[in-house]
Amino acid sequence: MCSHSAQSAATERSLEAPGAERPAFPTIALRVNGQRHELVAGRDFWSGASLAEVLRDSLGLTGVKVACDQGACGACTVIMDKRPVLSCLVLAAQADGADILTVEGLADDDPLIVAFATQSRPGHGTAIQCGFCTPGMIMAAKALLLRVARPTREQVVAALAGNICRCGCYEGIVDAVVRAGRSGDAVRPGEPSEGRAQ
Amino acid sequence: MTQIRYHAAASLQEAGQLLRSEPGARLLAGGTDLFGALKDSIHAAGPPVLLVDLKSVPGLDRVTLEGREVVIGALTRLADLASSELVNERLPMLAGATGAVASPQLREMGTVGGNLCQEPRCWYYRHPGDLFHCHRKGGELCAAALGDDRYHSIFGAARVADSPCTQACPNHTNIPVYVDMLRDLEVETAAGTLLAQNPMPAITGRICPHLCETGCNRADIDEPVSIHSLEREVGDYVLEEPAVFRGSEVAPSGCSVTVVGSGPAGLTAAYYLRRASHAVTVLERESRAGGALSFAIPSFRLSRAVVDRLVDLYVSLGVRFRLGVEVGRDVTLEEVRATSDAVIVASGACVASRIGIEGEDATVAGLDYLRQAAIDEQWRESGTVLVIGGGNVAVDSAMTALARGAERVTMVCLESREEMPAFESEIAGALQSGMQLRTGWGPRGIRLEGGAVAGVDLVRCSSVFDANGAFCPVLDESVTDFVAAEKVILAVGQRVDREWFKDCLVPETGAVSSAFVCGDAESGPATVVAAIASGRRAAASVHRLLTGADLPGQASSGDVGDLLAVDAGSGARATRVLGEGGEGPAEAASDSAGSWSALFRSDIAEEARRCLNCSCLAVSPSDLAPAFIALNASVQTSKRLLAVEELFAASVGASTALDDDEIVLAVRVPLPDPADGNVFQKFRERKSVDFPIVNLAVHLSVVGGTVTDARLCAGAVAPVPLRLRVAEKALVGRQADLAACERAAQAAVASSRMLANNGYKRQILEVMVRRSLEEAVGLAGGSLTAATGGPDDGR
Repeated sequence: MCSHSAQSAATERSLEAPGAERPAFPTIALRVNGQRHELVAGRDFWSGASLAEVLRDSLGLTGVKVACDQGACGACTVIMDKRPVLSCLVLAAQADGADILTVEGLADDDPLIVAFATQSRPGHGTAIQCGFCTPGMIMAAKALLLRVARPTREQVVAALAGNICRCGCYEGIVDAVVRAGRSGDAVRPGEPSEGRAQ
Repeated sequence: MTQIRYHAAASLQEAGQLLRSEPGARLLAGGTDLFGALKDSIHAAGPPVLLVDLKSVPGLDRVTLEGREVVIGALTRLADLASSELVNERLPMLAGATGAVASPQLREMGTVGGNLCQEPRCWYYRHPGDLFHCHRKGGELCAAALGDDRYHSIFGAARVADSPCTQACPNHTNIPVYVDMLRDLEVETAAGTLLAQNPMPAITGRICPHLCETGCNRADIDEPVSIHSLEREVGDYVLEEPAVFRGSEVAPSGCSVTVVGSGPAGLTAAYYLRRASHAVTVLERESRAGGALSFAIPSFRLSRAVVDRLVDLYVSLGVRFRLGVEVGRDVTLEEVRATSDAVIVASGACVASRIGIEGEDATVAGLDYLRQAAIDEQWRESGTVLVIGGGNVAVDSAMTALARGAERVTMVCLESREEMPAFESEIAGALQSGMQLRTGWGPRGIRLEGGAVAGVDLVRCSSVFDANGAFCPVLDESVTDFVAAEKVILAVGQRVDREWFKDCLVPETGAVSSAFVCGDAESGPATVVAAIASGRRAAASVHRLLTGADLPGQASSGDVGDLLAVDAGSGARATRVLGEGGEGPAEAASDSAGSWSALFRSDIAEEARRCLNCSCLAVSPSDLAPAFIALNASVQTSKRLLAVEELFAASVGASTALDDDEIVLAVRVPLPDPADGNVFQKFRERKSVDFPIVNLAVHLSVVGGTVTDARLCAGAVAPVPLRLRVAEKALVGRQADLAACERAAQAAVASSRMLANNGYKRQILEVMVRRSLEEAVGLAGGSLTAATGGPDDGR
């Protein structure tokens, strides 16, 4: 993986696609975190841009992390029309008309935000160390919670299977998501979760 | 990165229209494979890509039950397929296979059609920036054949394009295909394959310049594969096996063809037309057949016995030879045309060129000299001989003069040594035999004394070719020389006498039949292998004229055949087992009687294994394809319905057999009997995200303890999803027990060909077949009770 060179390559790309007589898609409309955006190709983004580039570079939503930029790490996960997708592999034009949720769109008291921020359990560790995978993990988990309100530990593990944590905080992350799902049951931070039993 | 344009297709018609009319148009489904490939620039930058999005076309993403089939729209997302109630209830194995694809996010994005049509897995092919000149992209050599092959095919390589040896051969011979058969000493099959393109490998194995070897990629490692030796061995085998030469019996066509000339082109045309069941008569003006093989190529290069044995094969095939008959002298061309349905003119290029110098009439033409030596083996030369010319006929004339007893032989040519048209190995051989060579001199005149030749006056030639490479000798009259000689042989090229046949080349209908010209008579002086290619073309034209059909058994050059073997360590095998290019005259001339013996067989196999088989070793990584194939599913495209198994064909620029504008619309899966055992297993390095190292889908029907039907398909082990037919055969009709599973597992991998670093995949596949079958037998109510998990378990 070569995230630095991939990102610098992205910033070096000119906005105007060379040789394009007329962009095939002059504008795209996105609804991001509840807010509507109209973006003009050639002005706001280049024609071959990924959704991740548009979210980060055009809309400033840098909570969307780009690590591998080839669909292998899950760091760029956002929710698009209720589906968790890898925004680095979505052509921006393909997202025209989509409803997108990024980590910036979650409320500060969103159960996932709270659970990740407060996760600390002896033997299981924290959910966050360097934090680079966290937005992707949270969005993959959010997509799960939108479908399954109180997921089992196995369901959480399966839903997060496409996200890599370089620091190896998997146990803490899974704990946090299970707790977030059970937050309605007044589980206090630090209390052992028993998602496996469900 | 290639520039990208995007268009959301409103309909299939519009998408198809764009694919036909827009250069660079590509179908976009989920985009995870295609957009990723574009981002990484894995292909050479081309024209702007127009991505035609199919997600905007309604109705392509549904999973429905139609009669006894589950119909899965091509744009169905993998996550939706994996969670579909219908699929989980009726096709649980497919649901499992779908759930094993990549990662949760990629399954939300990726589609069924995209999974089937994805590009192959190979880290050279997919390397960002298109750094490897990969065979699958039109390059010459598969990087994995010499590089890191740990994830590559264990069942051979796909011939996605012609290999460099085939491209270099004037006859476009499918060399890797017959060499592949020689690895296992399947000599009869190899002979049959070679004979389909060349009826005289015993001849070409001896005298062909073998341009194929100059193209051989093996030369970059150590030395080229000794293709000529292999060809010669196969040729000698053919000489001893008339049945192989004759092939299968065909009912007579009732058509007759006359071939004028029995040289390599005429013999080639005669062979293929006779094999196609036409009555073939060959007219030859000399008293023995063979043309240039008998009269222009000296016997020290090509034994007459080899030519005679070849002609004997022709006679046994039923080709009629009329020797000593010259068209124009003994019979008119009109008579020949009136009595046969087609005529092939293969009369060679026999008219000696002249240069118009003083005393030229006192010279002997090179071809005449060679013919004289060929007719009379006892004929002796004496004194000093000078040969004018720098081509192969000149070199052969000089060699003949030496062999027949000339005291001194000098060769004079305009060209420099590097420019001489003769084959370098033959020039070197002549020099070794004692020939004197004077390059850069032109003859000004033949000096006669008392009516006898005394020698040749020479003038310096400062350059032979002009700036455009055209023949345009510049002579420097101020520098002259004289070489004494008692005989002067003029070998400065041959021309074709077209006068006698030029009027009959227009295809006609009516009383007289059409004539077709081939060989040197068509092209001017060329090689035997070029004459063979030309004779084959002429035979194809005649056959088409007579029957309206293509000549049977002729593979077109673009054909992609079966997977070809690439051996472990073939890249490391350094020693050239069979002979070097320039074998000595004695060896080359041997009549080979009995040379096809067990003594050489191990050498042949060993040399054949040196072939890198310049084909593609990438694997098909789809998880869905094996599942669909095991379930006997079919693909509905915008043009046809075909079995999923038929969808895959490796070729340059494509992984499927679909037309450029053909769109996959749906996959139709017949409902299996609920009592059947269907199992899918996948082995990968991580439980998520990864491509399969090996995957396997099994369908098994068991009735009364006996296997009645078995379909096994493995993925990521070959360039296409691979049906394991040998394993299936080992199962059907047998008792469904542990021993059967074990037997089938061994059968499944028996024909595998591991590369240097991927032998482990064979072990995985074998275990996977056994475990999957045990599980399937259990599901199908067989005698096994314990269903074991996949090899993933316990990792």
